[in-house]
Amino acid sequence: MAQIAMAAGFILILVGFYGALTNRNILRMIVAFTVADTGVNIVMVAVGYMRGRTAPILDETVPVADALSRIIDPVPQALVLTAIVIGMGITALMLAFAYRFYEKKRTLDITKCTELKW
Amino acid sequence: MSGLVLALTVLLAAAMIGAALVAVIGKSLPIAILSAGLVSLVASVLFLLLASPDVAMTEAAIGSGLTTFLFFFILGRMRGGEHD
Amino acid sequence: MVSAIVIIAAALAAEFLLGLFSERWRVAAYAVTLFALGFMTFIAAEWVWAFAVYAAQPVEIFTAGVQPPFAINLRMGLPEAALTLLINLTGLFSALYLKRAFLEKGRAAMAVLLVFVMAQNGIVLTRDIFNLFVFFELSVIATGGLMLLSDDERAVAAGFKYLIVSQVISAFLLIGIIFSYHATGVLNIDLMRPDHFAALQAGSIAFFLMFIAVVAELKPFPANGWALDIYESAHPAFAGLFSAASAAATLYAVAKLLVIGGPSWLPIATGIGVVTFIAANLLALPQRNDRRLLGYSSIAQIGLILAVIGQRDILGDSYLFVAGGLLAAHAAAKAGLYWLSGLIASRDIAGWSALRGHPVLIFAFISFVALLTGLPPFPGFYAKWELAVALAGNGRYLLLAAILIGALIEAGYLFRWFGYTIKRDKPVEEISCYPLAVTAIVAALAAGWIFAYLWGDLSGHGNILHAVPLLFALSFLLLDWLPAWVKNTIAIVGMVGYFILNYADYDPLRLIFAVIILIGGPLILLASYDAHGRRVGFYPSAMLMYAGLTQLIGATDFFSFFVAWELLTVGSYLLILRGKHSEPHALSYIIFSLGGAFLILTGFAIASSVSPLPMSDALKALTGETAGWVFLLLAIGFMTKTAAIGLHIWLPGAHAEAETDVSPMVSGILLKAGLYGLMVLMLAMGKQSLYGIELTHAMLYIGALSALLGNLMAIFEEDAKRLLAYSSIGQMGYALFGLALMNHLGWVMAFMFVINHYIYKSMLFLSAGGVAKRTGTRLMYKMGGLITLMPLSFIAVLIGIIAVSGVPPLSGFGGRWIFYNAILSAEHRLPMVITFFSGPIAFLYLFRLIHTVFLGQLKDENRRIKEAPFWIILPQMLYVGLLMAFAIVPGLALRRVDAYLGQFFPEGGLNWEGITITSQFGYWSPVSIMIIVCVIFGSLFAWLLFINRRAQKVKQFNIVFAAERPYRPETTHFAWNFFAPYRKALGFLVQPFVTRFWDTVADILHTAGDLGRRLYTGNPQTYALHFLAFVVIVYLFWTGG
Repeated sequence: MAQIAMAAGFILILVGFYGALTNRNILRMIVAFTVADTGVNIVMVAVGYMRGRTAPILDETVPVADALSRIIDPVPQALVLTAIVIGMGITALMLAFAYRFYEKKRTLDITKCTELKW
Repeated sequence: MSGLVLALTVLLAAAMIGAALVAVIGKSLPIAILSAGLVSLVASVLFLLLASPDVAMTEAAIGSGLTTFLFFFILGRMRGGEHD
Repeated sequence: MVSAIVIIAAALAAEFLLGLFSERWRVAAYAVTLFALGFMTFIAAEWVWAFAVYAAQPVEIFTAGVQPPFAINLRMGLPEAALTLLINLTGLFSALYLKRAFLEKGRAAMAVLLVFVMAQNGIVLTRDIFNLFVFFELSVIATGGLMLLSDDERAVAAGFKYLIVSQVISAFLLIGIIFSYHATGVLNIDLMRPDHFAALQAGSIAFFLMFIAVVAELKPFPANGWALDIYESAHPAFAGLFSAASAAATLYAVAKLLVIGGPSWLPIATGIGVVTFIAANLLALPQRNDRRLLGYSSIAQIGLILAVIGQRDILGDSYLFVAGGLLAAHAAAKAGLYWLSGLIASRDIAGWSALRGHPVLIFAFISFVALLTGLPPFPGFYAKWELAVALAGNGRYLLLAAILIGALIEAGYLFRWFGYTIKRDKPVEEISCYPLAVTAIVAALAAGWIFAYLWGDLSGHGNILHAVPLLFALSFLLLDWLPAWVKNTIAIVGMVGYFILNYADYDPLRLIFAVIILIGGPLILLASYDAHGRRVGFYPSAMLMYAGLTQLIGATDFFSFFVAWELLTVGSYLLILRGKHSEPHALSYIIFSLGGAFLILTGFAIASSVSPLPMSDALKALTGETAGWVFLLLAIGFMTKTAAIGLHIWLPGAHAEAETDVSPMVSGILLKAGLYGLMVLMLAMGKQSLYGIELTHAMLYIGALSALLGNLMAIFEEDAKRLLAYSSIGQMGYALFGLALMNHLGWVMAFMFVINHYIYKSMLFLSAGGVAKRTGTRLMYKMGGLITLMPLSFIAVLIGIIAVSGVPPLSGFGGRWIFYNAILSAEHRLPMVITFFSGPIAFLYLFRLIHTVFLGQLKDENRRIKEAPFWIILPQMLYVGLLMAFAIVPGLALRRVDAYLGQFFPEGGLNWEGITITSQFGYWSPVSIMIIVCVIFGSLFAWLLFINRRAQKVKQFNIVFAAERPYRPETTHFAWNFFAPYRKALGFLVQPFVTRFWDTVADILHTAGDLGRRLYTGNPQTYALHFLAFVVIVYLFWTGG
């Protein structure tokens, strides 16, 4: 199951990057990036999954004593949580840029920002 | 049991990829944003299946909810630019 | 001792505090920001002090109270302390510079700057790879945020491009991290090992992804477009911080990762680094925008340091010294240059001429350029030396060559920029001397010099800044406010005093050079008394050149020799640059000189890696093909300085356009540095062959051709000083020929030339300069008939040309005589013949010089001129006296030389008996010759006066012509196109082949750069594609190689 999820994640990343690199509208680029970010997160969680084990939450169903043999690795989940939030932050920043860009140029076309080159 | 889970995973994966394609290739921008939200939603269900409930909650809240809201917020402030 | 984590904590606390402030409390917010940055700097400084002075041990900081792998840990060791000090100090000064912008923008900008600086600190301190990712993302967000807050529209676009590409990079980084975790089971850098990756299938791809993502943060070529726009459009204070601080942090991150990956990854790092270094420097060549040029230069320097990190295996312990030296130089220089750019209104590099009139800022600029090109005494120089020795010692010659070529290109565009600054017209807008900005620039300048001193102390070769001659030269920087004649006197006294204190330490050969430099130099400096005012910048440059020359002849090991060589190159460049029209010539001079210096560096590196002995012994110890190559490299390097044919195109312009009292210095004294080097080389190594070609035989031909072609080119010159400059090429050819004969008399002849050439060339240049001063031109066809108005100059030139041409009774004749003796005992015929012919050809231009300037008819505009100024005439008359003395008693100088040479070339010596000198072929009696010639001349002159006593004077315009009036006056002047028949006959020999060759080389480089820069189209999606292509290319190289 984890392999399917991982494969899906990679496909999502590819689709996302394809969209980011070919779309000319800035907002669509940012949307594509969020899709790619989601894909990365899926891959990360899939790496941490172990067959037949359960979520890393210690309560009555999973006492501390057998925890080591019954839970999946919690570290990738911690990483993913951080990555989700960071991704959100960057998305917000990019949207702010898009807004600023639109204010000045009245267009959302990425090919219009090439005054600096060479 | 695990066969069911496997089938569910494949279904979810297919749904995600479909929604992603709509988000990236689709013609209308609001539809694309909603599709991206859908991708996040399906991903959070997938996370549940992958035994990561807290990640699922976070993804649902932030990826689906907050990000989609942000997009529409910004889109609302820009009139006339989304048809590029 | 405050724990290092407080650096991060303090920054965080300040950021949160700023968030709580009201929007109106800007001054308070600014104070908080400065205080936080200052506190962070203090902590870092405290740790540096602890490591440096108390030799403390590195400290681990456990953030959760638990050890890794269960928690993240930070480490504070010496490298971390030094890097965090660098980052925080740069951040502090940037914040000072940004005061005005901050108070306008509000606390958001201040908080974002704090985040940026904190993130760089985090990258350096952390030992956890995911923590590294988080801090990288923080750095990206902070950079984006600062660009978003900028007023400049292009900055907004630049920030957006930056974010787009960094999104792609962070995806790669995350995937790499998670799979690395999968392979190793930990996230801690110290616990991850190369064998973990080897165990897992596709484990090395995991590391590859992580590694390539972090390397991409360094903006390697070609994946660097996304950052260039930030360099160009950001506020200069931030651009400086961005260049210095993020380079330091990210490079250290790459170094940390390379430990995990193992030694098999080092070559990839080197490859990426070197390609980036060369490509970015090449692309910088056609740049006109100053900040974009600095951006490319930053990318190049970072590439170089990456390559050095990749050479860790051969550098061993000194890798921190080398990489750190280059990084320190880069940081101080880039921060300083970006901060300087903030003062200047124009964005074109020629607009920096606005800096003229601000000596401190000009001094800062040249210091920054010297820091970047790795000139002594700065840390880049020590680093370059260690790197070269290590690379040569391990046989990595291609890498060394690539690095030196990149460095030469960098030197080219940096010095071209400096030339523009000094020589172009000042733009209308003055620079805005914002005091905080100037403080920051001065701080960067001070940092650069402090690093220079520090790296000197740390290096094993002795601190360059401890050398007395150099310190004497540098003291003139402090004395520059004094009037010129005071500084002149101090200079003369200093040099003569140094000679008196040290002359006993020199062997006879070196003593000759010492006399020429330390006594001859002051003689020429007498002419400088003619100048008025303060002559800012002249004395430090001149004394720097003389310091280099003095240290050159005193050097006994490779390092000191090379230090001296570079010092004299820089000093003479700055001197030559002072001439009115010398901008392109000075540039050409420094590029050729540095090229030659790099060849010498390579030769020295190879030689000293074979044996660590002092210079001469180490050279003697070389054998086989190594010896041949070292000889070739060193010979070509030294011949660049003597302007041997093929490498000579810089000389005519440089010597002709230099000021009146500078031309004698560079032509009379500086050229001898090359001869000195050749002398040391050939005494130590003797004859060498490479692939069957006998190298000294080749040098014979080079010398002969230089003599012939130099003299030929001189005869067609209309400009008096250019004529003398070409003549110098010819004369150096003679001296080279003499040395290459490798027999006793050949060397005596060479030394005779060294002395003679110094005396008469200095004298001739001074006369030409004096005449040019009075007539206002250097073109000989505009002069004529000056003998009556400038008799002393005439006498000087007359004696000069008699000496040069080798006509008895003056010393040139003695040189001729020794020359004939030398070739009679040598083996090769053709070079002999060529050199022989260049003699009469030399006479042609000498005759032209005196005839067209002093004889003939006086032109109208020159009727009222006076003799040249007293202080210019005085040295000339002294030289006349010296020439006469040397002609009558050559033994004064040559006798000891002859005896000393006997130990190297036992046969063929001269016999000095009384006033006659005997060789195996004949004899020479200077005194008798002088008496005979004087008697003949005297009697003829008396007879001439006698028969002319009733001659009729004919007025100048008593001529009749029945033709049209000439419209180009020069065509009727007898001096113009003086040797037209010769030009018809022999002109084919002086086609500017060599000039065209070097011009083509320069053109190719510029075109390549221009084509290359088109890669960066401005479209961020293209930049993202560059990154992906970069990943694929490196992957292919990695799996293939």
